[in-house]
Amino acid sequence: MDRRFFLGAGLGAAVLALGGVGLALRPGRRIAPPAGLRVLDDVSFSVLSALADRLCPAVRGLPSASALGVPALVDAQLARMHPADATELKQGLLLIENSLAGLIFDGEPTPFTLRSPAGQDLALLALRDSGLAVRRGLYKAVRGLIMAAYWGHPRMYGASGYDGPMDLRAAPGGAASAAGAEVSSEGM
Amino acid sequence: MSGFIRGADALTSAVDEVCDVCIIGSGAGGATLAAGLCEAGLSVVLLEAGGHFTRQTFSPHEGEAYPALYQDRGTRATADLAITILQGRAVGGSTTVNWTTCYRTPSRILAHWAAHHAVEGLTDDALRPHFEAVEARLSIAPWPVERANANNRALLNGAAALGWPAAPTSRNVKGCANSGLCGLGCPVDGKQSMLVTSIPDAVSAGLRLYADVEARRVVVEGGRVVRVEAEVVRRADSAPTGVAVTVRPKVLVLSGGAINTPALLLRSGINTNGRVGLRTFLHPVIAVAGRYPERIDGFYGAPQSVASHHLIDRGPERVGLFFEAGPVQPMLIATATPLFGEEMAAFMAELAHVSGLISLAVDGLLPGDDGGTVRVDAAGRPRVDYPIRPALAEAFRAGHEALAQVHLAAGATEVYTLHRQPRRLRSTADIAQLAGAPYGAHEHAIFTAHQMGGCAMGEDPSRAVVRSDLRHHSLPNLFVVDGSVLPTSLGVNPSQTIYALAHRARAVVAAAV
Repeated sequence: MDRRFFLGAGLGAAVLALGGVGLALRPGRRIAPPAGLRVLDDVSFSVLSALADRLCPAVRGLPSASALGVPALVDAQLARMHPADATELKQGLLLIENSLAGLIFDGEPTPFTLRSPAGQDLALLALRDSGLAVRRGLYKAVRGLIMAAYWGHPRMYGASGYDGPMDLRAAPGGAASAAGAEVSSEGM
Repeated sequence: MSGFIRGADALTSAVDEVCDVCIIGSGAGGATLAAGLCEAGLSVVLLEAGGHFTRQTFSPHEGEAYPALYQDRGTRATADLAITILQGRAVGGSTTVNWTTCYRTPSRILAHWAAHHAVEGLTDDALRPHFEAVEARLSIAPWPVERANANNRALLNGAAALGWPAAPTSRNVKGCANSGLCGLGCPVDGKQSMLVTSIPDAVSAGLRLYADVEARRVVVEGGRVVRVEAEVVRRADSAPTGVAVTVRPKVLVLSGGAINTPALLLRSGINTNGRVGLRTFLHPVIAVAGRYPERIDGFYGAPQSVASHHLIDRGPERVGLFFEAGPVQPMLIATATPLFGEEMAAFMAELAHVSGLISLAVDGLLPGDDGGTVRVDAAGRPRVDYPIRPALAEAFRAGHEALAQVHLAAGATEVYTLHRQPRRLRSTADIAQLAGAPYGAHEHAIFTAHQMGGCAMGEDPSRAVVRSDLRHHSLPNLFVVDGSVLPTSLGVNPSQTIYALAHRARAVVAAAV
């Protein structure tokens, strides 16, 4: 993501500038994060979990995103990304949760995590269909990370009719390595 | 004399290399060039920011492969996040993860470059030996139509029913297992990517390839490049390890691709005429899904093996289009589809019956179509701005309509667009709905897998960054050999054009040492 993508558009800045207003700081529902998170804190983890469970709820016999461990997987992906991108995504999560932002953009001052499932879906639709491209971009970024973690999970393959990748590990190999060359390819 | 490939684990102390040629980037341009230079006996050092993966270490799972093998851990996008950018980051560059489609540069594009961009010496005849050479080395040949999967046959059959031309593409494969895993790294080395062809050729002839090494700056003194400053990055998260790599070459070649090469030049302050990063082209892609009564199983089989160029020329004021297929694999589709909740689950439950076809817009050919711009932010990271101009938005509409026609003609019972609020069509009469749909940034999914331009070639030093022979206009020992030199997009998949330009550049670069 573009550094200052959200803040540069004035949305986050407006909200953060009003950070002293009680409404902006109204606490939401918090869930205990698992040990070992690398990027998300308890607030952003709680928001991400709530978002993930509306984007990928327990329907049609499928596990919810939380049940599949998606929030922790997203944290792991954020840890692989450039710190500036991860930080910005985290700020975007806080913006979604922020009561004042909710009031300004959706006319709904309740933190995202405290809304009913139907209310959360309305908030997601408002984000997706916002007249502000920057909010649509936030929806795309958050949704993309969650959907990738959920539908990219091997446990979900069957739910899309995918039998999983062909097992070709025993197939004859090609000529990938130069004969006699020193190859030291392990990462750190 | 055998060379080596060293990754971050082996690079624990500072490296200071002196060589004839340093190449930055190991994709279609850099690897092809490296093989020729090494075989000619030159001393070559190649720096690759991505890691060295092989068929033994590729993961066949999307959730692991995209973060490992793609730029920005699979999240690269335009600055406004409207266009998803699929671009490889690994030894072999994007050839390690591309879908193997190969075309020679169209004659009309070469003629356009000569007429409008002062490109000299690039003709069908001049390029023929280079195309033939890379076709032989990379086993590029038409894919047998009987091996096309049902996803690609949907395009073939739909086009045939409409009376539109469509044909199998050529692919760079040998022993393809039809696994469908091209985009995740070929598990059987069937794809004749740089990873299994030119790079082994070059290493056997002495190439010193440093993987997990990011070039930070090119240093110029006295009107010549004198060194490259780089650093080792961790495979896991690309964070610098603190180990410096310095290369002092006689000649430097930038082959990092159409986003990273302009960014490196901009970070280094090498932008004499202000043209670096301008005219960046993406072949912007929209996708349309069709639901079929029978299983399509687009998970498997060569992801892309049929194309139609029926709308490649829509007249002088319209952006041309061409149509292909893409892999229908769960994570890729799920991230592109705008649905959520119950609706999303229902869509995904039918994925085995879904065909995914794509429309690629041929940007950069119309007057005033300058495509996008690569810039760098305060931290030196590349940023791509790509405005959706009215002509392109119109092309998105035309692409949606055409692909809907194809799907319905091929027997789809329902057609889905990837709009924020998807359109669902069940008959040709429904296609009229698409005329009133919105087109542009954040209105529907937009992708690119073909990045071109940003360091255009041409003989006019006020408009181009490099000459037609790919030598920099101001710095005599600097070359650019990758997709960034293309003055426009191509209207075909670009890999073979880059292979051929790099093959042609071997003699010029060698002579510059």
